[in-house]
Amino acid sequence: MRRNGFRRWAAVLFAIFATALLAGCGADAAAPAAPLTPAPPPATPPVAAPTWVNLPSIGARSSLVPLGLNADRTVQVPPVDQPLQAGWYQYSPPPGQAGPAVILGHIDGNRQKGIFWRLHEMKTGDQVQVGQANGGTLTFTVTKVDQVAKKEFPTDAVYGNTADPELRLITCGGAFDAADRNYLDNIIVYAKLVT
Amino acid sequence: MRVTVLRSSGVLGLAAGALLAGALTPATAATAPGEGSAYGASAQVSLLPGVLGQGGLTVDTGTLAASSTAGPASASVADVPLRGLVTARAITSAAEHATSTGQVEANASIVDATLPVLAGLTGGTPSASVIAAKCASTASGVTGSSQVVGLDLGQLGTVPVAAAPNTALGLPGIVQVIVNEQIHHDDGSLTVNALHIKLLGGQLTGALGSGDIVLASATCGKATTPPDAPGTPDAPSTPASPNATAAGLGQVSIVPAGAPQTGDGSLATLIEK
Repeated sequence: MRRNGFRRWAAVLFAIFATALLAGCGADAAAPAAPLTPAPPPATPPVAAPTWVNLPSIGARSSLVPLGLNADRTVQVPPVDQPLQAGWYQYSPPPGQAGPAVILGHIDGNRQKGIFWRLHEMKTGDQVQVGQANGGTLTFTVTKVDQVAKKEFPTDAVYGNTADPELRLITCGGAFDAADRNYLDNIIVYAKLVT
Repeated sequence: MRVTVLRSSGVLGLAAGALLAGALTPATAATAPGEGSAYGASAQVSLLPGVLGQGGLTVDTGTLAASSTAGPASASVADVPLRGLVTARAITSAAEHATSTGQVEANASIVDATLPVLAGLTGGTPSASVIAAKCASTASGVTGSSQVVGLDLGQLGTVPVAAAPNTALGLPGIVQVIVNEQIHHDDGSLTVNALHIKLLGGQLTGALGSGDIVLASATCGKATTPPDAPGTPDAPSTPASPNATAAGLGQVSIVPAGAPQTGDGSLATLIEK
């Protein structure tokens, strides 16, 4: 019967979605326990959702919460009172799928250093690892580190299509405009999948 | 996170048969080359008493947040007459025909949706953080895809983020849920419905009613021939926009506005240059 098939799906996919379901704001999306026994994947398995990111060269590691859009269509960021929490922009492809997977993290928050406090120290050639809900680990290598004014945010370069799986790590940087309570720049790390 | 329950004055008491007569699939309207359209949601359903509240409910919303290459190029709504069948935080759609390349793109998306209409079957109100559909036409053809993030339909199953075309879940005789529904029309156009919920009737125990709900739909006609013949120096052999690469699809289904705000500046004095 069909329902058995659905249950198998559910078992495989639960892990993928557990993170998303926990989402809300500030949920601790630490790797969910793998449920049940693995079932055969569907014929064309979707690329698994990302569950964590690791930047060994700057000592940063975080689980990933899914991030959507604010009502004004700006991108959501992890709760600022949990500055060590990074997140994956869920309208971007999951890491490992062709396209720019976008991961966001704070530079600071709540008077603490954020997960991407040292993102500007990343160098071309540094490695970035991303964990997947299916237990896989992907390795990316940094191709560019950029600091750009927010008012000139390079939308096409960050969100535009790419031929291969790529990664974007984004945080704030530059001077802080106390009047606007806003950093003036973004730090953007571009990376590509190591194949 | 504000969640708006989408409701308005609906029409009670319409005959279910009348609703079913008007098929939701936009197959009736031909989509010529260079044309595209999208809408966020549409519902034509007749619910049995008790499914959502005491009385029965009949809803015909038309297409909500509709856009088209004929205009408007984009649409967005935050308050939608779905009578509590479905709630969402934002519903948007966009359709574009690039005359220089001939390409057509259309997309629709729903953010933070819940589906109270299915709560009786799934043992809790299903929700999805994203329900999105898109299509694109290039000289090499028309393609489409859907993205449904975080949708658990309980006993019906969990919906994969990037489901294969026309993935179907459901309970026979009660409800069928088609994920990433892709309908190829005779005129070469393609309709992609991220989620198509078909209520199959009222005879069986657990029945909800009858009718169709479509969430996030995009239709693309075939690409047109660029005005510049190939070989002309002006002809853009490589598209300038990175969002018009080989597949012609935006891999990022919704490009956010502005720049991310990632920090509160509470340690800013330490890093100011």
